[in-house]
Amino acid sequence: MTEVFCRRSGIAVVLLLVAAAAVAAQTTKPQVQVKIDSVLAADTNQGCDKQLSWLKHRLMRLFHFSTYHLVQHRESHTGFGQTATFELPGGRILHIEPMGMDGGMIRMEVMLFQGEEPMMTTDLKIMNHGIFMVGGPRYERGTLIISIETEAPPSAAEVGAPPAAVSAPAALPASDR
Amino acid sequence: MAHCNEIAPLLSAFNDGELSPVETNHVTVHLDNCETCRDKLLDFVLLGHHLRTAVAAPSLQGFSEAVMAGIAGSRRPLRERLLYWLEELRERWVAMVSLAGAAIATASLILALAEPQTLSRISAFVHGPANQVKLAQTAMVNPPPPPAASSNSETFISRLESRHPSVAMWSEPDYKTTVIWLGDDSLGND
Repeated sequence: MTEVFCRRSGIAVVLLLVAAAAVAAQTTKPQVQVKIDSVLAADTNQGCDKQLSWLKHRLMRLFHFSTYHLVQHRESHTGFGQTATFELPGGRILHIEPMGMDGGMIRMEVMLFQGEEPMMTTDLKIMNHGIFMVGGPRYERGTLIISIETEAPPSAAEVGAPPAAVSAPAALPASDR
Repeated sequence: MAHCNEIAPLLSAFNDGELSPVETNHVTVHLDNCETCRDKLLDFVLLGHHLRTAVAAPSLQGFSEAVMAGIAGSRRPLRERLLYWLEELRERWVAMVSLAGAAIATASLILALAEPQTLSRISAFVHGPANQVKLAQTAMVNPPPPPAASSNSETFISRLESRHPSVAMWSEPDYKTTVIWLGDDSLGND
């Protein structure tokens, strides 16, 4: 009798494990696309790199450098709870970890390292397809500006509605997407 | 040739085939030449035959069924039955509790692994444990600035830690872009 009971319990455990594994697989399924543009900004009056045409107006508005040159473009897909690592110019390393969706925004942790030394770590929420930038580190004869753009799939973005405090993204000029 | 008084004690065993080959040969040689001993051996043979035919072997037909029926019919004492029941119950509970514990532990492990934070910690541990430790140390040395939130942009910053002496943050509402600017620091310089 105990043998039968053990066998039935074993089957129940296996079913439970399968269900838990399915939940785990479902939880980690959505992928977030992360795009990183490393821009060298300087005051050398060389204008803006053609490859940065989509970012030109934004850079001009946010900063007051006379030269913007795209040093590196990187893209990666990563799941929620997983860290995407980017090697940036000048031995910097960027860790981006999307942690989940919160009212249509992507919640993530961003860590910037100089080699193994941490330079900055931040937790933030950003609108899907939103961009934020980290700047300041010196690179060659200028300053490095790192543009970070994240994009979650619609299935992940539909998790929650945008919070009331946040308005819908305004339409941007064609040159700025 | 052996004397009859030496052979006589062996005749019964000889009749039953229990002697060694040497003894058997010895007795056989004696019997060939001794009628007295042959008569004694004949007596043993006849005696054995009479004994086997005199006592009838009991029939074993239905014996096992009768025994099993007797066992089934006998009622064990209450104490013994109670102890047996308790033992069975204990085994069942131990098995159930063990299996339930194992199931809960495994499910917890899987669900914990499925948690984004856990995965990120594992990932961070794999990719850069030194970074994590140093980051924690840095945070202790330089208390983080108060949480900031840029409500004019599409970005909300809830935590910002940096070892740079000056960190600035601003937003461009039109483009809904937030900038974190790390001030000059030997760490950030090439």
